[in-house]
Amino acid sequence: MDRDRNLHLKVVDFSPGNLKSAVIDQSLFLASKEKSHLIYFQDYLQELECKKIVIENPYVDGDYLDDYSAYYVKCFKNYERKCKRVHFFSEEFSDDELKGFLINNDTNKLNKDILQQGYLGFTVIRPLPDAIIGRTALKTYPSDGGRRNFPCTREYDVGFLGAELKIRSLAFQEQDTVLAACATTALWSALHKTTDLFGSKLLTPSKITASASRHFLFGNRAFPSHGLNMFQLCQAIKEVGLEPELRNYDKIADFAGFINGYLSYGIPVILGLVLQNPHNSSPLGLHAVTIAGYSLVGNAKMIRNAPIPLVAHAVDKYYVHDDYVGPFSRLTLDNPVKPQKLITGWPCNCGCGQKLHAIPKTIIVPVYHKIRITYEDVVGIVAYFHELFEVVFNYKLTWDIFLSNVNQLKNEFHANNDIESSQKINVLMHNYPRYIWKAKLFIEGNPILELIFDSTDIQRGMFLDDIIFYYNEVKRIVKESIDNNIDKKYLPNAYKLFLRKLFA
Amino acid sequence: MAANKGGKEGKMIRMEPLDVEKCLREASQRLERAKRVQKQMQDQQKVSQEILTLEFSV
Repeated sequence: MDRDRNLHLKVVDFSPGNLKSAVIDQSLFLASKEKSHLIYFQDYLQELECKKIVIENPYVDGDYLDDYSAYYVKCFKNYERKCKRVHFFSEEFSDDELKGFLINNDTNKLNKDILQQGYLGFTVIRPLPDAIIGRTALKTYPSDGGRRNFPCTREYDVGFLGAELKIRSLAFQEQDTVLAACATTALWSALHKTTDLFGSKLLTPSKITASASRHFLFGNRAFPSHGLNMFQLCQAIKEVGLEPELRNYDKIADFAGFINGYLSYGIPVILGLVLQNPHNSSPLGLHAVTIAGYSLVGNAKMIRNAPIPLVAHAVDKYYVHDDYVGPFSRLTLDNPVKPQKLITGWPCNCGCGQKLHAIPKTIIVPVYHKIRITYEDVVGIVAYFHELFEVVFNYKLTWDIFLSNVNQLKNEFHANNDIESSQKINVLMHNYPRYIWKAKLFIEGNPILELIFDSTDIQRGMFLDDIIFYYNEVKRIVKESIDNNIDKKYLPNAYKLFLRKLFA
Repeated sequence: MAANKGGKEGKMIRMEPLDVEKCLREASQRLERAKRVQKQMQDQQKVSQEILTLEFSV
């Protein structure tokens, strides 16, 4: 057997020094100061209670290999083709115990279940002078009693010495500014989730940049890549068979509402940000990040300038893949409806300890082509029902408006025994479109009904598909309002007729 | 959204009898408000040309 093909494994305790020597190859590394990702990884892994690092060398990474063949192989200087992979565990074990695991020794303490239980994920280390953080999948922060949510994650299978470990995460990597700048890596992370959600194509960073630059070059060269514009990002989304929903932040009426509409279903949202100096707010450039999760604080407050009161107004921060900072880095909002300032994870250059600020500029959501009805189309109709129901029920109302699908809807109703049986049977026996928008209405935190919209319909049609009442009492009051012709004063004609047909 | 809803899910809320007069009295003001939101949502979907060529490169 060729000895050059032997896999070298090293087990070390988790510590800042060991992490640095596991990640950085001093013979290649050029960065003059401490690498910011390393500091972030150190803090992040500490929070996940990491105890052991396992270094696997060499490791062949498909994404890097694609980038290597597209660019690095043609450099005069020799760049290595193989990477190394660093795994993180929250379980204690020794080198000998790992060797015992290899021969599947029954008396050995370490087995697959223990490894899986303590597995925190991996990072691929690229053999490059600076942009060393390759494909990375790390466990998310703990949920903290439901406060933290990560809808844009998926399961990754990780081959580890004959054990197939699983990790729920969203792939992250650092930009190399050769084949991928921030916009490419943000889209690459997003595509990892959309491929899982919609079965769309998954491109490597070099292929994303190439397809983005195919028709829109604006005089610049495609490689080395220093960034992508909105035209190019939208083009790359179309190349994988999805459609881009692009928005100007200036025109956004409800930031958290719009983002929640897509994020709740697991669709990653790509934010285009203007970075700002925290001392004098001077602009520092345009940067793109991918939203993978969110954090909620208490109940959604009634916010004066919101078009409709939403559950999403309880969001205080997002967890974003920021290629300059790290995976699931915090992006804190000063106001969920129209944030004036976001606090990023970027440390300020002057060393003051503050983080850079950011103002959103653009929002892109890659959606399946059959999702034609937008968040705004739905809110435009919910607004009428909000006014009607608020006065009919005589309560302050809160809505949760989000994309979903028929299976999720039926699974949820099948499992919920609080809903009256007749309503439950109606839902389970009803034929719904595959993709639906749901507007769930809450009174004092309790859901009472849902408006179901057909997301595959046409905008100028009747895309309200159904109203599901959780309780007969709620249905009775709405019926009473129709009997008193109140709906005639509140709803557009088509919706009024829909309601009357529903109660006929 | 997995929300902190502040109450036990599934608890039925006590409903007051319908106040028909109040409902009819407030109708025009509320209808106007809904129309404004719908217009705001239509405008939100119109993308300005200037953002299309912004290069995200930091």
